[in-house]
Amino acid sequence: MPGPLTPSDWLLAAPLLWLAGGVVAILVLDAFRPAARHEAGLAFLALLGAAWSLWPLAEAAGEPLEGIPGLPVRAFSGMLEASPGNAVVGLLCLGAAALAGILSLRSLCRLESGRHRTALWTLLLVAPAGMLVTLASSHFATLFLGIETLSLPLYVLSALRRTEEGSVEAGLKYFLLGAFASGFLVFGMALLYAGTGRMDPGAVTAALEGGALARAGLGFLYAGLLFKLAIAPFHLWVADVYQGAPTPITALMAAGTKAAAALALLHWAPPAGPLGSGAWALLACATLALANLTALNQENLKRILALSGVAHAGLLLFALAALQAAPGSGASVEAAVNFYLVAYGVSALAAFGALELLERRAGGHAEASALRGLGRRFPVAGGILALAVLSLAGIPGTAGFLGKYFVFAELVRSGEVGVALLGILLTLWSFAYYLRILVVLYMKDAAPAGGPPAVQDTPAAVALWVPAVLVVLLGVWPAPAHLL
Amino acid sequence: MIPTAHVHILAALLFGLGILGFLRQRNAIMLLMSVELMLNSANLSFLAAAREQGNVDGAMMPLFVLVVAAAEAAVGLALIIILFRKRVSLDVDLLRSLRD
Amino acid sequence: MSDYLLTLITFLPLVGSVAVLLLPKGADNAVRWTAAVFTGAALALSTWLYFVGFDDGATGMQFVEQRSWIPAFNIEYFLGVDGISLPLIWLSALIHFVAVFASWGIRKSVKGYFALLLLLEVGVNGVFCALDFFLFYVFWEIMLLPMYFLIGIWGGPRREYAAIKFFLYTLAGSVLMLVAMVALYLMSGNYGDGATFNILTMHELAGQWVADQGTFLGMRFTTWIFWFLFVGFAVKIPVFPFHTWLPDAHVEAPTPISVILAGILLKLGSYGMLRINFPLAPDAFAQAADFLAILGTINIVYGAYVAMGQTDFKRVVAYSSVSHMGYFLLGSAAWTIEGINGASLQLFTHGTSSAMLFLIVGVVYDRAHHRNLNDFGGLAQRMPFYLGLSTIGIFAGLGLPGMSGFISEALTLLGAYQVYPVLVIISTLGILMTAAFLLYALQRVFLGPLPEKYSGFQDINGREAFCMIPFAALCILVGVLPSLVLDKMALAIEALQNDLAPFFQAVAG
Repeated sequence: MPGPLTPSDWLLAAPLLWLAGGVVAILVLDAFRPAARHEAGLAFLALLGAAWSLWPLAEAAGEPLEGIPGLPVRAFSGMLEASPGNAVVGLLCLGAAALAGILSLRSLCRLESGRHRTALWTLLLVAPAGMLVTLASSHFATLFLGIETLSLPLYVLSALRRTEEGSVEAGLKYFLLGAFASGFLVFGMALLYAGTGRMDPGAVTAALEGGALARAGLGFLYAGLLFKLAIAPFHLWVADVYQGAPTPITALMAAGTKAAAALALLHWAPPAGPLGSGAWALLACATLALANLTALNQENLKRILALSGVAHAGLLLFALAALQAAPGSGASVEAAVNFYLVAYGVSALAAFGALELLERRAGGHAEASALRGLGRRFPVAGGILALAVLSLAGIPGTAGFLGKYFVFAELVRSGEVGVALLGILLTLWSFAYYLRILVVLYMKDAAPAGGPPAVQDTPAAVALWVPAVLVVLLGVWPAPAHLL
Repeated sequence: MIPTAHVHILAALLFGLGILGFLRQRNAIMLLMSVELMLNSANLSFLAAAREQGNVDGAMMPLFVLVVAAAEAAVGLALIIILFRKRVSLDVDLLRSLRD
Repeated sequence: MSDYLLTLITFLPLVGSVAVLLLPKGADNAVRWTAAVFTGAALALSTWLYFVGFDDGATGMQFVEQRSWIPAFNIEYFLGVDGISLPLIWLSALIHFVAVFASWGIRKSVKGYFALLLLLEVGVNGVFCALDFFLFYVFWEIMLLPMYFLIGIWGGPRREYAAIKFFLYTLAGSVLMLVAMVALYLMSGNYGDGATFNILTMHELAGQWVADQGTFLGMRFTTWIFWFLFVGFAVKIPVFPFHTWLPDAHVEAPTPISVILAGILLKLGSYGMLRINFPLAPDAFAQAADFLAILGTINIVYGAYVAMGQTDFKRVVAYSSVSHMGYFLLGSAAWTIEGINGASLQLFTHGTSSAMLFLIVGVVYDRAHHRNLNDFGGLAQRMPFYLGLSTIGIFAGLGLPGMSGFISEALTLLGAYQVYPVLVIISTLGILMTAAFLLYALQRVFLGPLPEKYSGFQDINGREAFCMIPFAALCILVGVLPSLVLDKMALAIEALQNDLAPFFQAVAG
């Protein structure tokens, strides 16, 4: 029976309340004092507060929190469920929003009037709230609401440069395909509910034993989730949207959306056994192969990084395959996935963040021809981009290597050695386009400077060090993050 | 009393119509409407199933879906208006500036 | 201090690398001196380690540091040094120190260059010190990147091509190594205290897993592991037919990078074979030994043969490296005490002589801006001091008695003759050809009439001499007193030989 809120409820609700409070505060203040520039400060305060309230859970490894029965924490009659590892990924989402905000201070914030700023900062709070709900969802309602709450702000944010054709096009494309995918998601939920009478992850198990209706529902549900995660064959939108959206927003999408959708998929993954690992492994290999193949022919660095994100999402499915192949490996697979998401997240943040700074130097272009030799001319931004690319490629000494290593280790441990070998080969293939980025940045002679000179952006340049340092730190000392 | 299965069949037909519309139509407004059709067919299924199961869990979902659909329509229409101002056309096939 | 000596030797250059990056833009001389100080400190420490700290009479690892690193996979931060790695650690420190001075003339992005050079030393020293396979692998890959950039940014006209080729070859090799590493880790989980990356523990377990291994796709596990590791390391040596990246990399790389590449990077593959590849899959090694010996002979003869046909001075030296590294393979495939000693000594002597040869090429290239042997002549008249040093380098390279190369090659061939007499006789062909092309190069550059355009050349300056003299001294010193190196290695090699000898007897019997 529903009673007063328990400590568990409060624990998981607190970050959301901070974010929602920030949104309300910005909107109310904006209504009364439209001229004041309070948005950014309030937004950072809300993000900090959310992170602060999430911290106890992220830190709680091994021992339960005071007043809360056991881990993972279950809240609101089981509608939300989060482990300490999930909380670490949640912190990543909050950090991604903060970084997107800092990167926007000198660019998106200066686009137009105050209205524009209000939209930017409120949406930058709503999106991570949606991500937090999504990654902890263990009920159809929270899953659907979470995904929509993270998607709607991103549709708008993608189109924020509304005088630019590419930005509007990215927003509209993302919106149309995202809404289409939501249709699949909801219809899948309806059929699952009709077939099994349940709305929690137990419905998946029941559906596998149940009739055709529920099984069809499962298919629709996964199609919807795989779209959000950009798994082949639902990956085609990614390159366009990532390219057209303002780069700070792209960074948020790459790190946050992917992490949230991946954890949701893990929550709702079928239990070991009946479905087998073959389907996941096949999807993973197909995604990697398609992403690699497409990325090789791209000229725009944002598109290349977008497809690298697709490949990374594909690799994640190997973890699901491992889960399928080895019953009882749930905890270690989840730990591997959490670490992998954090590793990819910080690498992607560093990559897109540094790319944003370089792009401004190149007159707003992200084509290889415009960025020639910029790595040598702007050593810090170029160095961070190079470091991030190396991490995405999976070079030892970076977080990206350990992330991939943990996932493949789970796969090998589950007995799928052949699949692991194939996956490693496909990963190797991706080096071709990562190397190309390095060649463009460092080994070509510099292009003549185009466009107006860029504004000095100290906050962004300083903030970029955070993901860059994390890439190295998690690469050489993963123990604290891997305690999950 | 209409059998639940019939309602599901109707919902599936509506859903299929939505998919077909989304894939065939080129007008952005029509695409939006197709998506609405898909969402509402799911609502129909939810309600029918809730009636059959005899609990309110399923009856609650359409409320969420309706609210979200309204928000989606608001965002979608805003985006479509910006597109229309730029292009004076609603044809989504014109969305081709993002290529390599 | 001695508790952390290996950590210091490995990571001092990293501190230097960060320090270099923190220096202000344009402070090029400060950057150079910072790099010199940090590589110098690493050299001083490893010199102390070599001559004072290391106990020749003790078996097993010394200066061990062992700490848990990634507990979830039982990965450790585990360093140690024995007679096999000791000379290579010292050589690495020396070569990097000299390379800093050889790089004094680099003008393009000086900060980035020296930061990468120092990072490279971290990777190389780390590989020689690491006793945890995972740690070894991390250092192995860390080394790959600076090299890629150093060739790709500061290289010659075809630098991109050479850099990518180098990267892809090495990467393909290291992925095979990664797969074998994970397989070994899982195999070790069946014994003792659970899965481990500890190389010494794996070494002890090797006998057991050879005894009760299964098969995979019709081949025994250790055979798979052996070949995966072998290809991974062979790319780096490089063993024919994986050698094609080497001449390109050498030709495009700036002189100091060629020095590092030939002097120490090629030794990493050989060291990996001795430390990991052979001991962890001993039965497969014993079975493959004949084939390895043949590969070694091919390297010796083919490398020398191709070198004879080159007109680019640097390409000549590059192919001579291919030829010289063949001795390592031939000597260790025989698995006699003399053979392994010769092979290991060859790593050291080739490190000094090839570094010397590349410095020699660098001197003429800096002055003439080309390396075409047919276009030189008569430099002896203008550069007598240079002639003297070059003669030492070239004689050491072709193995003249009294020089270091002679001792190691003679020992190798002596050791290999007991097992592969025919191959040894064939490989003497390689010695003849090496003598031929090196003397030919000497003649082309120094003798004959002096072309008008070269009459303004200055003899080598103090800095160039400072770079070459240590190597020249080592070429002679080790040639006269090989025990300086051999005594350090003796016990470790004897123990290793004893451990694996039963597997050779099993194959023979």
